Amino acid sequence: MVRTMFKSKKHTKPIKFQASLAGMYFLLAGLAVMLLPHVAHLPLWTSLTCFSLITWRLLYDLKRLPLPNRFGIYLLFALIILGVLANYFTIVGREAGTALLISMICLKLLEIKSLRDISLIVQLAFFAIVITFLFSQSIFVAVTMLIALVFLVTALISFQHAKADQIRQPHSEKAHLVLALKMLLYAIPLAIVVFIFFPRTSTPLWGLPHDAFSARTGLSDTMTPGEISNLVDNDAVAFRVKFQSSIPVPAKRYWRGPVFWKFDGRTWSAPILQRLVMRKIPLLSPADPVEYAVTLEPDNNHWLFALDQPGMIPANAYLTTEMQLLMRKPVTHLLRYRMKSYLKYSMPWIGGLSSERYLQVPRDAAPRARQYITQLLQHDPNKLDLVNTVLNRFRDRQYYYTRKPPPLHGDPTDAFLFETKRGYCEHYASSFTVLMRLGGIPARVVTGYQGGEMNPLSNYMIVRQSDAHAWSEIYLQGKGWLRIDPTAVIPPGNIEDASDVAHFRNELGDAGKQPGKSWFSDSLKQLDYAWDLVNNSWNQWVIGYNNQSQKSLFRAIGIPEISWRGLSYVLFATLGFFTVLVAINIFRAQRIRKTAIEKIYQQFLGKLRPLHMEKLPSEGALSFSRRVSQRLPAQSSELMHVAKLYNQIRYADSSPDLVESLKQAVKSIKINKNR
Amino acid sequence: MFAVLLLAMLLGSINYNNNLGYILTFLLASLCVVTIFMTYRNMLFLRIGPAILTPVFAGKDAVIPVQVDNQQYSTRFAIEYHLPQDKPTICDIPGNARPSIQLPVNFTQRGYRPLPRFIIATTFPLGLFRAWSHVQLHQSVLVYPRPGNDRILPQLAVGQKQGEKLHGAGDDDFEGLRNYQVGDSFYRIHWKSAARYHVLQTKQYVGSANTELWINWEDSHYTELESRISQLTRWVMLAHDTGIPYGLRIPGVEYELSTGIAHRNKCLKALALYGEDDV
Repeated sequence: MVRTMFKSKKHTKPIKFQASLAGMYFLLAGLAVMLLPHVAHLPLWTSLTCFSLITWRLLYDLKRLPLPNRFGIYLLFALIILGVLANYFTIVGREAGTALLISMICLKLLEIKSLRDISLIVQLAFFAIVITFLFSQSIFVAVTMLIALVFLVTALISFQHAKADQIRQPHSEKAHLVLALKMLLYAIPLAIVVFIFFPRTSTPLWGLPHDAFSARTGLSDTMTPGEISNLVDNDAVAFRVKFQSSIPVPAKRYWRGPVFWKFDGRTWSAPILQRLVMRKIPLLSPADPVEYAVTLEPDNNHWLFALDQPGMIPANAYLTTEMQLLMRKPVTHLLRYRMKSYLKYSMPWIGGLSSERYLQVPRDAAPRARQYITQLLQHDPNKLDLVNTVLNRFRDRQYYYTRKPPPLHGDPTDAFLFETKRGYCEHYASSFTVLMRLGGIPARVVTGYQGGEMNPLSNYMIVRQSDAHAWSEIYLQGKGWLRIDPTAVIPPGNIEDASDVAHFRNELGDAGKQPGKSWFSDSLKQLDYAWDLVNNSWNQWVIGYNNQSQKSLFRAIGIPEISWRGLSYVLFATLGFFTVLVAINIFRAQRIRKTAIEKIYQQFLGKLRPLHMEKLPSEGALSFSRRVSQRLPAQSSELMHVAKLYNQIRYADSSPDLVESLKQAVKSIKINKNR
Repeated sequence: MFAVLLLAMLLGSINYNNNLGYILTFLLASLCVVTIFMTYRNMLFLRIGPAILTPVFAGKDAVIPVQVDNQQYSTRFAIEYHLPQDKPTICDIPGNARPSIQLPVNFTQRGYRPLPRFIIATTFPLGLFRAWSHVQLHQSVLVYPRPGNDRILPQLAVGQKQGEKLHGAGDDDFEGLRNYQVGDSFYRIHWKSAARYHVLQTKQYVGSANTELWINWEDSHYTELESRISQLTRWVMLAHDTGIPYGLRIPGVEYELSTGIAHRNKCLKALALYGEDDV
């Protein structure tokens, strides 16, 4: 008899719209919460506009401010479009589209004419939430959006209820909120089932817009010593590592990233056109293997990071002749890959490469350094001695480590080596490499991360952007490519700023050895680790869930290979099962009044049956109790109480409390059969 | 609209391979499923009827109270009810109660008419879905004829016993006051004494000549049946308002002179059922 279907338009029209104040509060709260994570990346004026529009609507509902007329709304509309155009020079694309969508949702608040407008606002807000996830999928954003979702659903419920024009319950906001939570609670298991079983693809359906993933912090693809590095203070996580084998000692934690070999006198780079790819690992007699899995935060670059030196090439990646691992596509999502590295190795010269590639220094660059090297070589032509001499120079000749180096005037290499003598890893790696090249030793700059701290609460390592580092690799005949970290030779006394000490230690992989400054900072650190653990689990299980994890999940439950069709069968079967569960839960009829009390009263009658006291059809509850009381005078008050309650529930007030007390009253009656 | 939105969200999530996007899409889809159940439950086990039958006039907007029995403890929110072509009326039905909903009706024909089929529906909680049911109560309501527009009473029939002082109530000579009885015309209430004694009293007149009013079938100048009945209906009502004893003579029925609401209803019923086979 009762049927359900998608609501047709016909029926929405005639409903007279009644603004529900509570619903409006929920709507505005939901929108405001939804806006919060956007504030970070939206231009300031957009955030301000949106919050002003929300406030305007609020003031209107509090009867403080009138709404603008139609003209005013057109004006605001035009202003917002102009604002977006002025800001982004377009109204499409991820950033501009988001700004436009969110502003329009808020503007629509000023022009609510019917329930359908409310519905539209809420649905667009749902869409805006999905867009939010394109910017960030952090726990914070997820929780914020869940709160917004609860508010928006509650708003819908409130407005639906406000349609009723009779028997209005005045304060039902709480009931609406509870109902919204209840509905979401029912929906969550269904959503999780679909989430787990929904077939995943690894490729996008169509091309992503150009600004889909704008650059995020990370290393850069060129290196210019003296340029201000924004990595230094960035505590963001670069990647996390889970080791399968033993964890390498701090001094061995060199995470290899971009390698630069072209130098123009100022900037190091690795031109893509001259990039050469290797089919297999060229290492000779590798030893000390380490196996681990890296979970890389998306940085919109191609780089993969591996301990020196990588011993395998992950899927969809390739290896350059500089032993740099690169993905075929930029890393736009959290990426997990297995790696194997060899801590002991001998890396030969890659055949077919001219030594000019690693010896080239512009003719006019670094004249003083050139002169200095020439003198050294005249003194002692041994290449190995040259390396030691240069390193000793860094150690003994008052070179300082600082994160705020003075500007370099003139030739940057000369200026650093002979004048300022102050700098950080990039300065040392760059100048050392230049000196080596001038001395005829093939050399290149390797950037990446150095160090990493173990999360003591769980067994994985965190490598942060602040661990970014640069070092050198030189080629010596008979020894192969060797890693030289010139920054490491700076005496600890030569660190200028106290705040640099920690960072210097970080760069040298001493992290974790520092004694805790106080109980407080220790516990802060502990909290930090705990939070990172939560984040890591979130990344592994929620954000990182993909078709690979899906496959391994199926393998774990005993289905080795599953087709799309099989997957959809499983999906629908499980979904059907859960849907039925939810439906049973929802429909589990609250006991229907009559049957419930009749049942209780039957129990009462059943208790009296052993005494051969039967209620006559013509007898009322009261007269029956009275009759029984004559047999059991001691219990007459209880018997009468049951009868009175029964009558009250049957004919007057049948609240659940009374039903409950009737139940108790019947339970407490004890009939002694021996009487 | 919502389905389109969900599809767009799903496509976006697939394209960007965005897991939180997936979760939200699936959560909203599941919410839809839950909403279907919730909407359905909002109507489930709601017993409609019976209607409380009081006669209504044809052609006039009227309401018929229909009992609704909500035997569950939860309130049914925003229940809509209406005739198929009308706007819905919306109300809450509290838990464990048996309120009446006022079903607006408008009959065009007189006589015993079956209650129209009406729709009871709800879109609660989210307005995404609509659960509805057609309700056909097997009850008939007495519909009085539509009162005609002619407001002039027919000539008062001359009493047969002329000159004799009748004790039938007339409106010529004031005779005295008697206590108010249900059905007495408001025009005859002696308001002054009501103010003084706090008792309603009705003025009694003795009619000398025009003490009786007969409403005859032939008095109407309409020849068409329904118009004639409409006119007679109006006269009955006017006569009732004046408080003069009146009688009704239509083919097959003759009601003696009388007053009061019961008499009026009797006359109206006779008019309503005139010509109906199953009187």
